[in-house]
Amino acid sequence: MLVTIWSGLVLGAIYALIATGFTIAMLPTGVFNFAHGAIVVGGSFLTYQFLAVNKLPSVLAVILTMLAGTVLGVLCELLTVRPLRAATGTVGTGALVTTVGASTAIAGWVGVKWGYIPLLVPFVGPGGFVHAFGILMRPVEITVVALAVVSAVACELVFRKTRQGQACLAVAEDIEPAMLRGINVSRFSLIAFALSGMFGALAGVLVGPITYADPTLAPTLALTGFVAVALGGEGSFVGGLIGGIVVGLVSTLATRYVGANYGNTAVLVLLLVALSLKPKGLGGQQKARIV
Amino acid sequence: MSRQKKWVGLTAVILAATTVAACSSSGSTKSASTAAASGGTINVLVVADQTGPNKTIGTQEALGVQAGAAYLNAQGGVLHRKIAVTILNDVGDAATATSLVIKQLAQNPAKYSMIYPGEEGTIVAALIPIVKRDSLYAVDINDGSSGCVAAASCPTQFSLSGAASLTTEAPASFFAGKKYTNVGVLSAQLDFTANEATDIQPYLKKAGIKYETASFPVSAVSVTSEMSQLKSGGAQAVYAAAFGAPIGYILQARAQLGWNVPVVFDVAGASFNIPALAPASELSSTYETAFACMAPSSNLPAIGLISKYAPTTQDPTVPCNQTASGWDSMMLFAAAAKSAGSLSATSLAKATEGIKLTNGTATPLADYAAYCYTGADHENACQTGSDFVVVPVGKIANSKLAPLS
Repeated sequence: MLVTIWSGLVLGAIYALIATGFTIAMLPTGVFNFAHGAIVVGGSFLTYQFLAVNKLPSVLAVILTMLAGTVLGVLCELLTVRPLRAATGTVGTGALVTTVGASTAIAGWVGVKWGYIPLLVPFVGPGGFVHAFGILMRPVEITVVALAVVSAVACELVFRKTRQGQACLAVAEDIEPAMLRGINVSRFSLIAFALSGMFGALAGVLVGPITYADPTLAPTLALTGFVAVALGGEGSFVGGLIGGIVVGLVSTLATRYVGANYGNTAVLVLLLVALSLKPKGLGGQQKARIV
Repeated sequence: MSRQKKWVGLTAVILAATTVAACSSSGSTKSASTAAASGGTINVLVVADQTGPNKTIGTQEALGVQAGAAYLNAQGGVLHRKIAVTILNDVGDAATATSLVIKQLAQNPAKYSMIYPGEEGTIVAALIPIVKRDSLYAVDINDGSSGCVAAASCPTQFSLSGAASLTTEAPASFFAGKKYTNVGVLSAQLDFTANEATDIQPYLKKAGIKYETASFPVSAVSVTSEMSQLKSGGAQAVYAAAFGAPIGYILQARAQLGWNVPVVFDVAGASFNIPALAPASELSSTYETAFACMAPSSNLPAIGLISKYAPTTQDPTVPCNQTASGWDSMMLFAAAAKSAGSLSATSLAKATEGIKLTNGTATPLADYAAYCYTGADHENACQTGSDFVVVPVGKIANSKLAPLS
């Protein structure tokens, strides 16, 4: 039972990391960047390249991967969001199509560059197992869980407690009044996508050793991240964390104790029930705020 | 737009996008390709991925066909005519394959005497209706979900592979030989792997081995729960029908559970370089169900001939059975043509139904030891369980399994 719970927790932490990356980009832009899953996958491939092929030191490999993620994030904003805003003044659901396109392009690029056979990504930390609570845990799994929790809480604090963060929340709630208040939406959007890309690449550094670098994983990560955000509540980092972990645990427990075919079904039923009871998700709240 | 509406909108768009992605369409033309070419060169059409996700297998299968054609040409050709091979790149996509073949046949009616239709089952399955409509003689690697078991569905098409269940005979014998009494069967929820998980059960039952099954969705990124379930059931070994990253997940889960039981991967798993998917510490007591040509001790003459006649160097990291399938398709075609004395699809099909082709000097074979078909069943009835071997997992080098150092 403990092994199953730990397995679900690790899976949930992966989804939570995706949800955090989604939310970083979504808050100041209102855009659900479906290319984020592909950026995470790209981060995994780059980690493989830098560590397994180029044999770079771990710190340098992580920095280069995060820089590449930042560039991918910026490109996503410039190519998939900005033209829509320039053309119509708003982004709307058009970004859904353009970011899915960006996801396909990134996944295609990694497929062409590294092929479609999954690659074993080295972990930048120690290998082996850690014995705790009567089960075996891998250091990379512990790191993923820790990063998911720390990053969600840290982002929540930054966005709720800082002036820039509150400006982002204002944009998320209603873009036009925020613009009237002097918030430079385009600048915030670019920075948010850059940070989201950097975070996605960092997630790829840690997720890759668990899931392998695999171009076909991008849509799966994007969709489960979407479910985690929907469950946790749009705009809430802690909600995304909870949503991701709930999705991971429910999926794993249902698979183990109900049947392998019921993991995804259980998650979707949970999502429907949760959204019908709390349409804004578990952590979603709408508050009046002066900026 | 309110937030609730936005979520509903997003979900609707995702559902619509998923639906569109799941659907594929193919054009339809009225091709007049009803008879093979007469006189001059014999044209063979190969449909195989050269640049897309299946290129590692598609390029090697095409190379096998080219090697087979070059070998036959060196022997004087088929019916004293030389063979020319045309390759269509389907980029690993069934809709693309269908569209390209329709166009190619429309532009070149009655040109092709044989087609090698697709590098793997789902693409083969998509091309079956076109092959049937245009009455082309076709030899495929396998027919998807047994699309050519009934010959009426594929009157002129033949599969190199036979009943999928035969691939599970060797692992079942392996478990019986080790005197195991309880085996866990784990499979990905895909047609092919799920069928294998079912196919092995009668063999296990016959050997008096108790079994428990578990499966995981293709989108899974961990199979620890499923392995935990099998461990709880007291399994002494695991038969794993999986390919791609799940191979690594299975080995990770075994290590995480501290469960040092043997794991035997199926033929699909064996098509991957398993040691590249797990650290060396997780590879002990790991086996794979390999094609006979992959066994370290294998020394089939046909494999040497493929190397000799292939126009380019084979990819040494791809198992030999991929080039072997292309090669064997040409041997079958040549034998059918010789027997029929004609290149018309119906004559070739009739001749193939009466052939028993066995590995030998005249017809060196590499994929399976023998081929035979009946008028009712166009899958290879001469495939046997001994066409596969269970061997310790190894690195793929020179297209064979090399023992781990």
